[in-house]
Amino acid sequence: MTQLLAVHNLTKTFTMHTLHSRVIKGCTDVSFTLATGEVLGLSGPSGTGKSSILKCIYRAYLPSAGEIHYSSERLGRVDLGRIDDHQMIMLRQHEIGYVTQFLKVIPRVSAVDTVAEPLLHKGVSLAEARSRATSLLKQLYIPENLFDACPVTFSGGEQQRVNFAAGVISSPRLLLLDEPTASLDVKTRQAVIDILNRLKEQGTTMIAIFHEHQIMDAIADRLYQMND
Amino acid sequence: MAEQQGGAGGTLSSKTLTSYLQETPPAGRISTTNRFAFLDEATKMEIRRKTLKAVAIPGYQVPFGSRELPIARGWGTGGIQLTLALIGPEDIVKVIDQGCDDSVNAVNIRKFIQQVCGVEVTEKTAEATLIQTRHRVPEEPMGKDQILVLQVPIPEPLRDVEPSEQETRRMHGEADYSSIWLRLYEDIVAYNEITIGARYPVLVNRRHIMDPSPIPRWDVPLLHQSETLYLFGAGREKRIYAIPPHTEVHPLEFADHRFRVERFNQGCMLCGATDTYLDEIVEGSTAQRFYTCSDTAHCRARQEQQNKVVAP
Amino acid sequence: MNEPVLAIANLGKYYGPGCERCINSTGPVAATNICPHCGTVIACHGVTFSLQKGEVLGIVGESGSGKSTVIKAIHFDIEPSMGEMYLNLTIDHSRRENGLLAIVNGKRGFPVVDGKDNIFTLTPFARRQLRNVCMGIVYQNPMLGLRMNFSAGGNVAERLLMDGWDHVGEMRQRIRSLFERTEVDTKRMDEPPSSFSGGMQQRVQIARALSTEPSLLLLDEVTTGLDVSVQARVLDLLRSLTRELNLATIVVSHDLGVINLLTTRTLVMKSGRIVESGLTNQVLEDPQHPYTQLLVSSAL
Repeated sequence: MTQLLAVHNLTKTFTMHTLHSRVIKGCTDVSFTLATGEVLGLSGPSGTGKSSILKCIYRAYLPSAGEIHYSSERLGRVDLGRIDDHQMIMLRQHEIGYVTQFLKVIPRVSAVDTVAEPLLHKGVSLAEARSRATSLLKQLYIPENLFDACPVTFSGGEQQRVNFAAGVISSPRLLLLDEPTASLDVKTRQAVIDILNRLKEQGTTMIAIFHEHQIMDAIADRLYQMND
Repeated sequence: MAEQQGGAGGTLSSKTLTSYLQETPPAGRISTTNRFAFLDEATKMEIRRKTLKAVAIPGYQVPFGSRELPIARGWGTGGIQLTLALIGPEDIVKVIDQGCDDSVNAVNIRKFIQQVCGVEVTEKTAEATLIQTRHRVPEEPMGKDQILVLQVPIPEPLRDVEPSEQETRRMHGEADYSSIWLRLYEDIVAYNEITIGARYPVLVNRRHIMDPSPIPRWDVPLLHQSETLYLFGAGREKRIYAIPPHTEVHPLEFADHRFRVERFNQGCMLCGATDTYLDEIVEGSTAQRFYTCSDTAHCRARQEQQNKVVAP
Repeated sequence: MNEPVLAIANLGKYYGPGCERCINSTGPVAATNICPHCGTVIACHGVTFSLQKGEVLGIVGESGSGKSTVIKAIHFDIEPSMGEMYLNLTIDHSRRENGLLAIVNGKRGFPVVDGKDNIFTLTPFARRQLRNVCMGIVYQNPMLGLRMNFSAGGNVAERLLMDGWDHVGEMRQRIRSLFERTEVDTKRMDEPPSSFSGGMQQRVQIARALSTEPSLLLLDEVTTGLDVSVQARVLDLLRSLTRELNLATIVVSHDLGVINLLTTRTLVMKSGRIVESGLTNQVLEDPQHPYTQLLVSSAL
C-alpha cells in the first residue's frame, strides 16, 4: 500500500481585513497520512476545522502553514499547498474530487447535465456521460421526472444528492467528502453509503466528514480526532 | 472688357475662352498667355512627381495640389491637369466623353488643349499618343507608346462603406478591406448578384483596392496586364493614381459569383458590331430602342470599312 | 505543463506625460489611478499572467480597476505603453491559400505565433490578421462589436471574408450553423442586428467571435445590463461553448456570480494593478487581499 497523502503540521488561519485584521482560526497543526485505498474519517466537534482541512487539500483555502504531500499519477509527489494553479486545475479535473456541503446551482442546467459535466471535462461523449449520470441519479432515488429539471428548485436533500453524484461520477483517485448525508433520510443515506462502499472497493482513497457516528464507523478505516 | 470676360460659371464656350486668353492680365496677376500647356512649370513638376509616385505604387491614391483651371470642378479638371503636365509639342491628343469625340465636353476640352498647347488632335485611337477620356476605355487595344488619362469623380472605392477620409486612408495603409468585401456579400444576399455597375472595385497589384472611375464593367478587364499606361486624375478630390503596364488588376468577385461584363442582345445598329459596348438610344416618337457603339470613332472606322455612308 | 496559449508580461497603459513618482503614487494602496504630481492616468501597470488552452480566466474589478484596459490591449484596440504579449498557437492555414483575399494575405505571409515574438511589436496589418484568426471578442455594448448597418449574417461573414473565404454559399452555411449553435434565429440572418433584442445581439457577437475558430475568446462584461433570464441563457451558452471548443477564455466582469459560474482562475484588479490571483473558488472562499475580502463580502 503506497502512501497517497501525507499532511504535515497543516494550519489555517484567516485574517479578516474588514474586521480590523482579526485573526480567525481554521485548523491548527494537523498531521496525518493516508494510504491508497484507505478511508479516513475526520471526527470532532463543530468548529474544530474539519472542513478547513478538506478545503486546504482541495485548495479552496490557501494553507497558512504546513505541507500537503500528494502522490499524483501525472505529476509525481507534489505539495498541494504550493503547486501552480494550472497543475491544481488539472488535478481537480482528473484526480481529486470534492463533495461540498452545498450544491453550486447553475441556472438552466438540468440535474442530469450537472452530474454529467465532470465527465465531459474528461472527454467522455455527451451521450455516455448523460447515461452514466442518469443511472447514478436513479441509484440515489432522484425521481425520474426531475432529471431534466434545474436543481434550483429541489429540496435540500435532493440538491445534496445531485451534488454528491457530480462529485463521485468521475471516480477520482482521492475523494474528499464534507457531510454528504447531512440532509438525507435513512433510505437515501444508505444509497450514498452503498455507492461509497463500491468506490472503496474500486480503490478510491477518501477523507470524509460525517455527522453521524454510525456511518463514520461503517465506512472509515481509521479516524482522525480533531481537538479544540 | 467686363462683357468680354464672360460670366463666372456657366458652360465653357470657345469664344469666351479665346478672349480670356487674349486679354491683357491686370497688374499683379500671373500671366497665363505665353506658357506652354497653361500650367506653370512648378505645377507641372509637382504633377509629374506625383504621377511617378502613383506609377511606383499601382492603385494607390497620391494626393496633389489640384490647381485652378478655367473649367469648374467636376468637369474633368483632374484629367486635364494630368494631360497638361505630361503633354509635349509632338503629342497627338484624342479626347472622348462616354466614348464619343463629338460630345460638348470632349469638344471643349480638346479645343482648350489645342489652344494652350498647339498640338495636333485626332479622332483615331491608333493615331493618338495621349487620350483623355471620361467614363470609357477605347475599344481598340492601345499600345505601349500610348497613355490613357481617365477623369475620376470619386477616387475612393471605399467611400460608400466609409465616409471618413482618415479612416479610408488607414484602411488602405493597413490593407483592411473587409468593409468593401462585406458590401459585396450583402449585395449577393439581397439581390443574388453584385449590383455595382460602373466604378467596379478592383484589386491592383495584389495590394490596393482601386476605383477604376465610372467606366462600365465591360472595360474593367482591359486594365489587366495591358501594354498601356493608365493614369487617373481626380481634380476636385485632388488625387492621382495609376496602373502601369503589365499590372495585375482583378475585379473583386466570389468563387460562386464571378465578375461578369454587360451582355447585349443585339449588335450595333450602324456597324453591326457584336463585340463592343453599346449605347442605348430611345427614339423619341416611337419609343423604339436602338443600340449603337459607344466608341464612335471605332464605329465609324468599321462603317468606313464596310463602305457605308458616314455621317459628318 | 504545456506552454501557455497566451502570456502577458508587464502590461502597462498610461495616459499623460508621466513622471518618476507616478507608479509609487498610484495603485490600490493609494486608492487612485491618477498621479497627484503630474496628472497621468495609470490605467494599468505591471499586469502579468498566462493562460492555458481550455482555461477560463476571470478578471474582476470595479470601475477604474484596469480590467477593460487589459482586454483592449490584448485585442489591439489600444496600444499599450509598455509590456509584452506572446501567443503560442497552431493555426490551420489551408483555407488561406485560395481566393482573391488570400492573394493579399498570402503576399504578406501570416505572422508566426510560436511564443517567441512580442506580438505588440508586429505591424498593424499582421496584428489584424492575428486578431481575426486567433481571437474573438464579445463587448458589453453590441454597438462596439457589431456593424449595425450590415446584416447579422454579414457581421459574421466579415471575419470569414478577412480570413480568405471566397464562396458565398459556403459562408452562408457556416453562418447558419454558427447561428444555430448560438441560438440566433437563422430566419433573421439577413436582418440588421439593430432590430434584435439585447440578448440576441450578444449571441450574434458570440457567433461572430467564433466564426474563424479562434483559440482565444475575450468576453468584456458580456452580460452586464441584460435581463436576468437573458443573462442566464447567454452564460449557459458560453459555458457549453468554452467546454466544447476547449477555448482559452478571458472573462472580464465586476459580477462575482458570473466569475464564479464561468471561470477556473481569477485575477482581482484594483486601481490598475493585480492585487490577487488564484483559483476562482479559493479567491472567493478564502480571499487574502483586503480589497478582495471587501469585494466578496459586498457581493449580493
